Amino acid sequence: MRRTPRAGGRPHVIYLAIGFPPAAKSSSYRLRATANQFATFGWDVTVINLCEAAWEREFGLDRTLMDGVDPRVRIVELPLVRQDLETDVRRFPEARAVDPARWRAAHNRRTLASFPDPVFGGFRAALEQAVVRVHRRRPADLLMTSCAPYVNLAATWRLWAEHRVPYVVDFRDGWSIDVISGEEAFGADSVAGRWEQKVLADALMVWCVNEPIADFYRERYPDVADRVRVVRNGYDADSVPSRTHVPDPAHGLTYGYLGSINFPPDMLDSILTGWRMARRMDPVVGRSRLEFHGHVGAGSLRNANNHAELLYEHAEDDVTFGGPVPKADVDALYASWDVALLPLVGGRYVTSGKVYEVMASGLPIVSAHEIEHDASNVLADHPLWTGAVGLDSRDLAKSFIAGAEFAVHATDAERDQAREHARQYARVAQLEPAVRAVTEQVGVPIGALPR
Amino acid sequence: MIKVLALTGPVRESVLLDIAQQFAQRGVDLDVMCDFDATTFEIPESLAGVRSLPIAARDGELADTVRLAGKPLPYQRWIKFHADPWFRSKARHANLIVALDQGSVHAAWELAQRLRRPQVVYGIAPALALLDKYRNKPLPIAMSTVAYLPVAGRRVTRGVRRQSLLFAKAAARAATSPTVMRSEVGARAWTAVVAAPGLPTKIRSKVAYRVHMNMLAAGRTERALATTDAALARFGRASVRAALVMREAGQEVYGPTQPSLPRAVDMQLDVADAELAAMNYAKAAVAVDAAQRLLFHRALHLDRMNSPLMDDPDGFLTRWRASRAVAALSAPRGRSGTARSGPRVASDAEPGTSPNGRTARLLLVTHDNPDHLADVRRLFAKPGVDVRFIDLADDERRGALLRPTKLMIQHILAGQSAYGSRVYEWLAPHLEWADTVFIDGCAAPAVMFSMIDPGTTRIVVRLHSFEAYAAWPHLVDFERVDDLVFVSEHVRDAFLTVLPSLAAGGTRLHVVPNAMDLSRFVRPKPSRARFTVGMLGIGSVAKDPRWALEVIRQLRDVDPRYRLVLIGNEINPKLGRGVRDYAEVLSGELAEAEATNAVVLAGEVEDIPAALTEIGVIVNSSAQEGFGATIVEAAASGAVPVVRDWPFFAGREHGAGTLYPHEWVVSSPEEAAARIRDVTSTEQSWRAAGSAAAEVANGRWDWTATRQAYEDLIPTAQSAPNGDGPARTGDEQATTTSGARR
Repeated sequence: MRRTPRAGGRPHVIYLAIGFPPAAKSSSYRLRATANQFATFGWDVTVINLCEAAWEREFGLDRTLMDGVDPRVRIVELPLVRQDLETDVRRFPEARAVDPARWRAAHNRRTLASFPDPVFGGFRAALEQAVVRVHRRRPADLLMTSCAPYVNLAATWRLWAEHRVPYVVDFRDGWSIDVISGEEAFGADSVAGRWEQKVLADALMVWCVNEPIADFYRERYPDVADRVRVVRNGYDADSVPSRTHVPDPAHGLTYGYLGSINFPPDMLDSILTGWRMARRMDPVVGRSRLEFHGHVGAGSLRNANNHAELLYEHAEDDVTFGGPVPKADVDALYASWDVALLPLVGGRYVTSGKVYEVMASGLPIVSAHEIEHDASNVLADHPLWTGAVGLDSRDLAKSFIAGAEFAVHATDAERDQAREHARQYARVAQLEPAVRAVTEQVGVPIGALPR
Repeated sequence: MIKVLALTGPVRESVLLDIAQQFAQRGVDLDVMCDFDATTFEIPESLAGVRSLPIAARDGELADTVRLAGKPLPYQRWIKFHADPWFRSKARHANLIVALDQGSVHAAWELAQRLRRPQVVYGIAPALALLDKYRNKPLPIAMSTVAYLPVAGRRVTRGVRRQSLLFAKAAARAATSPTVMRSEVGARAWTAVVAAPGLPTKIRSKVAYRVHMNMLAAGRTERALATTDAALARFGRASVRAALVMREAGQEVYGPTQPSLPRAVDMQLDVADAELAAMNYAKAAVAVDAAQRLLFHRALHLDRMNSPLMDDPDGFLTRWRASRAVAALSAPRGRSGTARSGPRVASDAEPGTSPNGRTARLLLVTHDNPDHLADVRRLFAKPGVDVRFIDLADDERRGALLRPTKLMIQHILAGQSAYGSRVYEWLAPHLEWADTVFIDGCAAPAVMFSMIDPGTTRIVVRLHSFEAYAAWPHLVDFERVDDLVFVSEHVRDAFLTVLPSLAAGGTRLHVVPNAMDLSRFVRPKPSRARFTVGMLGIGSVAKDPRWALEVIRQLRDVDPRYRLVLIGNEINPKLGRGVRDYAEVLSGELAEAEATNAVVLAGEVEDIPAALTEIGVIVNSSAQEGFGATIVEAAASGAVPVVRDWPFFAGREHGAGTLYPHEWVVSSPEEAAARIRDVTSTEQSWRAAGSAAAEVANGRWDWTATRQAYEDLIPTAQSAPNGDGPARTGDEQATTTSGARR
């Protein structure tokens, strides 16, 4: 039986948004925008997140992200931190110091025993208790849950099973689909498979970030098919530079990438080798530089792992690594570049949020991903796109050179056309209809609520 | 000022410099303890004090190496760090200790148990975050005295526990010794233990391994294999079964027999073939690499007097040749053109000019062995030939690409990889420039060049001998190699027994001896040299200096005027257990011989021609040689050659007896001693024999005799034998590996 919101007053949504700002994660923007949309539609929003100490251990914090959080959104922070990201060696048990691999394997087993989420599974009990506690304090009319982490599904189900709070699952990249390989991640009969089936069966709605993932779920769960909806990530308006950098080919161009540097080292290696080749083949590229900004590694491996070493190794090729950039400085960063590099993992099931932001910048785009990739669908009509050529260094070298030609010869009209192409993917434009649909489905009359 | 001690394993100089700069920005006093040789790093002292662990090179430190063998690497690092007084002092005074990599965490943790004051963290980011948090303030003391007490107490407990474990291990070793295994009762009892139900996997595996190895040492091969079978039957996971068999095979290579080797290779190649079929190229490469490391282990082929690869190549390589993954490694990868140049044939009217009439471009490639190419460089350093020489090992940025065989294998199986792109980026420009690429040695460089389509560039690979016993030739696409040059017929024969398909393939095969400038060895030899027997090159088991010691022993039994001079670096015992065992015995025999002045250890000598003036007889006692350049050089000097009929090739169609005049070759130390006594019986006979040897050497192998063969092999515009004498320095256009001209 579904609950109907109480007449009068604002409905209450509990939003399980692990990774909400000020966490400096790529998902933070979607979580923030979703919470804001609910607030805009008249909901009282309670976000449940982990404490700041948890994110300091991971990719760190970006407090400028909080500037964009609707002041009506209430945030509950849970004192949960990942033990595997502990960096104070005095807290290590002897077993962990002596044999880290074995300790990690045992840690993963314990985590999985609680819930089939190898990273956050151990938080299941705490999350369940948190949603129940928040609900008891102020009954919820809806639970909005965003995955990853998938352990959120346990807390979601708990609230449904005990208190019949309807829920929406924002699956983003899905769970039983491995978006990188395009293969099934686990079988329907597995522990994770049974969880997924159970939770999705009663969901009001299931959101995915692109059509291929949505199609996968429609096919896997035909009974849920009509409730699966594509809600793309989109870009934030404050990331869009207000001006375009004027290229100076005599002094070389600036190529840039902003984002998590979490693609496989081999892939980064291919990109950097292609860059080196391009510098040899083309004089303009030979005078140019390639900047990487963003997070490299987490916890103890932040800024010190294979990726970082690869980047340092290519310093002679004018490759630099600038670390993370606060959200507030993103537009200025894009404004300083001539060409945007778009390295993406996966294939047809991956879009990534980065493609929208890069499109909105109006810059020429050098793609470094598989040819059959959802980003290719999004970029198909972009006038300043080099095309997807795969990950062979020789082909990437040609793309780098093509990017330089775009940068030097693109007209104002072409740049405007590029930005216009991106506008349909503004994040608000993607989320607003989805939150509206949820609001209507829950039975909250839009327009009757104070906004 | 805050004192920081950072601990790290191998890391690039640029990374360490960047870390030091980040700490310097926070105004700390940084010291870095490195578990590798960082002495070549140029890190300013103002940024960091960098301490490298001393490289254990002295015999006295061998005991330490043996003690640490088999222990986890992080534990080894801790022990090595802790043994250094500098490290202990820095740790005591540090306010912050940072483990920069996972391998240093154990060492950092041990310090945390011993020192209550410093903060101890893992990772550069948390260390910097801590310093930023307490900027301009002292770091807080990590633990109060009271809080530290239980930590100290636990350390005592751990010490007691470790001692108990050590005692238990020693007792277990005694109970499973070869002596016990020789007894049927003991052997049966331990087989039963290994097969007992309920034994934890890790313990079963450890016990099974120890019992197996000690049964082998006791001469009970069948029982050893049966014991392993019993253990394998109890393991549920294939990976555990494979790990035990690989461990046993990995140790057996050092011993007289290798009963586990076929099974270990079988297991790995089964995995490789299955993973290849599933297109899991990385896993297939791991398995192929594991198999080849066993099959072509140097302890099996180079550090002993015979090689199973030579004794029974078909039998030894049966499973290897049957593997689909192995077949894929040397399968043709395609070539977009045929070489536009080739060796001179009689009908050539105008040999050697390249298309468009420009001068021929010749690229000479070596890997850390420039001396081997000195002959060819000399030959082609002349007008009309544009020569570039690259030593791939000199490229600091890309030289590391020469090492990872796994990545080579993976790239070949998959057809593309990030590693392959790097190789392409490095070597393709050279292929584009050259008309002919001459690669010295069929090893990593030949594999890497054959990973790239050479188009119309001609590829010539020269083999010396050791490559026949390695995996390298099996990774080369010989459709991309136009010519193979062997330095002798027996090397060619050896290679064709390993890769018989080459005989019928499109690659041209040539036998061309090294082109040597022997004129510098022609010097007067004093009479006192008559009774001095020399041996050039003693640094490997294959050289078998003990055979030469036996020769001098027999000579001195009759006439104490004879003495043996050993020239060259001694054997490095760290190359493996078999090498260490040989080196230990040799060391004892040398000490005895030196005490009676029978032997002189000359060590490494810069001026070989000068040293050879004092050598009247040159002895070669090797188990196998490719060409024996030192024999030829010494013969050219007038030393009388006495060459062991190399056991690897004895009795075959070609060997020492067909390479050299038959009177030079002997079958035993007795024969060698008899020949030496005979030729040195008078000064006249000795000088006559020496002159005859010099005439043979100069007539057959001096570059004046062999250069035509090279010029026919690589014809150039100026290849008529018109050039007199060695090239002038400066004629050759030498380049660095980046292609820039020096």
